[in-house]
Amino acid sequence: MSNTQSQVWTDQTLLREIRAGGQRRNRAWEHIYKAWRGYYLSPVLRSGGTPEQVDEVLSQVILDVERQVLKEDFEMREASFRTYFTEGIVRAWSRSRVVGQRRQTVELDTQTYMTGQQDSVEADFIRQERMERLDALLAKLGEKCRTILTRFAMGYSMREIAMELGYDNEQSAKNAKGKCHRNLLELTDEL
Amino acid sequence: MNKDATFEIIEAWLSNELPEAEARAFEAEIATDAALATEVDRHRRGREGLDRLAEQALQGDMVRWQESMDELPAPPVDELPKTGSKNWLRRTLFGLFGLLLLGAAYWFWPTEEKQSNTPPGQENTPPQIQPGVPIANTPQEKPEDENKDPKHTEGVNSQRLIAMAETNLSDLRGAILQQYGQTMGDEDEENPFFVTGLKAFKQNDLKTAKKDLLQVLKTDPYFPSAQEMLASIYLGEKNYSKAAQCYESFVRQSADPASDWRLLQFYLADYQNHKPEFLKKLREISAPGNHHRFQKEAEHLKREMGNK
Repeated sequence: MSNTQSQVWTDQTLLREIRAGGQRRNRAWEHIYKAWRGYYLSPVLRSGGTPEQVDEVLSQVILDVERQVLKEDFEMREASFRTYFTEGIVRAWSRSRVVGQRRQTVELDTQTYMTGQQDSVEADFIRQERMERLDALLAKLGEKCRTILTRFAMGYSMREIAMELGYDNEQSAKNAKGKCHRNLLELTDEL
Repeated sequence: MNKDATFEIIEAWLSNELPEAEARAFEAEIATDAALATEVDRHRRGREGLDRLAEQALQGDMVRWQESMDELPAPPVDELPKTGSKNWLRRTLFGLFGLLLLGAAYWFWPTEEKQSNTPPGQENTPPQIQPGVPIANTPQEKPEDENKDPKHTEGVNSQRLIAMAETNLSDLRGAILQQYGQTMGDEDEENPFFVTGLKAFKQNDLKTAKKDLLQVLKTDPYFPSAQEMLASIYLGEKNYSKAAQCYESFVRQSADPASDWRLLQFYLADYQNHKPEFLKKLREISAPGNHHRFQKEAEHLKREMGNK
């Protein structure tokens, strides 16, 4: 007799899996990305946006939403998780358009963008530039360290990391992660 | 403390994993030890790097997912209790225990006679059906506030805090117009009061906008877009209490960190009535482990509040 029972992806299941981290979290986001795509693209497309523009902001929205979900007191009330997620995308997309326009303006005329803009857009603009500097620094990280730190940042347990990357045990994975983490700190000192 | 221990404790603190007392002690240490504070800043920058790695990995995943859109991941499979003699025994024991509970409940359940002996003033009242927990108090739920003289609220709140909040919220109307000028959800378009309310809001006819948006809330008390615009209108009217209520309702349906930051300002404007909420939100945004996009602004606000 089977000891397992199939479920469907409910809001509760999705939140639980995201909180679990690692591969379980990845599967939850994969489901959201695929199954809800028509829903979260719709308001953007109707407003003249493109799926590519949504994809540009999607990873940041996923991480923002994830941070909210990981908070102890987070709970969905009347709004569904899908509505909550879609709203995050629409807002991020909306902001990114202004930032994009501003970047074009900066290239043309460095004086123009300094006046009359909104604070949140200004913050996004600065954030984007900092991100580019950060990307350049992260490119110096070795492949092995990059993989292990990425898994760690995605909420994989040391056990999962050890299994996936072929370490003898959790402690070996932890030691390797510690060493890579220190390398990362040295790199980000230049930020 | 050796280097490894310092490394671990900083990481644990940034992840909000330290017990409350240890976290407070560590924060006190940071405040007095400049070298430690510098090291914490290094780890904060490292966190930015980790976040970016996670983001890049997600972007890679999304490219892969894009190529297999029809293959949805299977939902998780939960373990059911194992079958077998031990399980049978457990079920039987649970059954017996359940029967015992039922019997006890029947035995101790108050009879009508017992209820009639209850002294007046301590009468057993029939259980009230609790309404579902609303996302927020809507304008309809507290109509008495509607007629409250907004100048009264203004009078009792600190002018300085209000001025700070209003400055930080000066971009709200622009942000709303930018948002609703470009995107509207399906449900928004179907609600005629929202359509006319939005139009009036865009034309700065705030009296009509308020009337129509309040109509929207009569049929859907949790309509986020209407709540957001009403918050902006009440803010303009200096009715800070109502403004905070509406924006609070809106934020519960928003994933945007900027909304969090603005809610903090609404609480600040109505500090006297929303002090606990303000302090909680300020802690939440400024907590290093939360990596909130407005963390620095929140820290700045904290300092500003502390200086005055």
